[in-house]
Amino acid sequence: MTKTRVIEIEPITRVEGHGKITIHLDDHNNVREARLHVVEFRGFERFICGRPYWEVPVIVQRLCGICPVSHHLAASKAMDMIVGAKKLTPTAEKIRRLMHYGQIMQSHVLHFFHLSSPDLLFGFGSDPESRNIIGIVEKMPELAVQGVMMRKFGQEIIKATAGKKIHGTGAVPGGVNKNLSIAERDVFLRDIGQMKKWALGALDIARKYTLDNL
Amino acid sequence: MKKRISTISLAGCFGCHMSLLDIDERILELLKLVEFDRSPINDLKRFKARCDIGFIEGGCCNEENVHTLREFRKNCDVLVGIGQCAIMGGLPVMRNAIMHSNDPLRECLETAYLNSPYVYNPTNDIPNDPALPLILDKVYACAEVVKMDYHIPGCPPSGDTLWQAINALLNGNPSGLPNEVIRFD
Repeated sequence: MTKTRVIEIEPITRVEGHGKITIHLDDHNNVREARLHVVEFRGFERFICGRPYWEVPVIVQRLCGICPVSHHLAASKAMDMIVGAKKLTPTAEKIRRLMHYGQIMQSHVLHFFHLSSPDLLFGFGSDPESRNIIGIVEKMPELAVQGVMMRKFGQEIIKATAGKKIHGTGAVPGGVNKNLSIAERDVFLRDIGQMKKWALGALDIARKYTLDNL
Repeated sequence: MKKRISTISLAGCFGCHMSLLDIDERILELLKLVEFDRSPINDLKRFKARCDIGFIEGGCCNEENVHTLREFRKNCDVLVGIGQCAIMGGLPVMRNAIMHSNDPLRECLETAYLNSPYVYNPTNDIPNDPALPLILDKVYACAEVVKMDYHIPGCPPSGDTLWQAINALLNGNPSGLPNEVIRFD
């Protein structure tokens, strides 16, 4: 009789979300199949039906606490169609786009610095006890601070455009409900050079790792 | 001596964990006071030792959430629920009662996998792999499953609020939080 052994990796850690992996081995302990399981189900698609339409951008962004802006903006665009806003004002479009860029920055930094860099810098086979952001803080504190400040930059942009760092209310059906003052803009402009420098530094880490391990 | 803490996101969106990371550079200070046991930000997937404080984000939507929450209660001296999902079910709890529906969970599953305009599901199956944890009949708040010691309200509570609360807990003097930081939308 064929025996199937299954290796379960549960939960998946250091990723943006929840998941489970099962690896199915055959009689000779070779991998027959590997599966990724999405273990969560919440039902957003149904329970938003019947709610007041202006709640939708605020509800669906709670699908994810790392990328709420994406869902917030997608819902706002759907609501734009419902309220008949065929075209946004230039201000609204720019503020929404800036909100999204802020999220791209903080989410990518989170993935690269907080979650994945331990694998690149310490090695995939290194001791799991320290192969994490805490290990980075202990062994490479300047890099850790860079990652933290870059993520903060992105989060502050989201706060300036959406009202809160996580789960804001900035995009509404038809436009936005907050402007960006010149003073707020200048605060961000002041740090842009540093952020760009650090981002290019992060690219260098990734490039070096790739070339070293080709 | 450093306190040992662990964190988990049950059926949460990870917003509360992200808010925890919003303490920004204070994470260096935090790591002088605590060491982490299992947490989504490291690769410890089971408890290594008894923990002083466990931070729970999210409510219970499936059986695996319940098992994990009970593990946390068994292994942590103090359990703190962060955010509305842990306190009262948060947003996922909206699937417990849908207006004009006698079977809200069935309708949620059918809408997601069968009936929506852009669903492509040639076998017309709702996912039922044995590896998937069973969905509970209702979404449960953490306090309905195990005894919880503290709650920090918010969706999510801000990084500053969490920093204030964590320091108070680590110093053994959990005080209330002022109204301005525990209002939520």
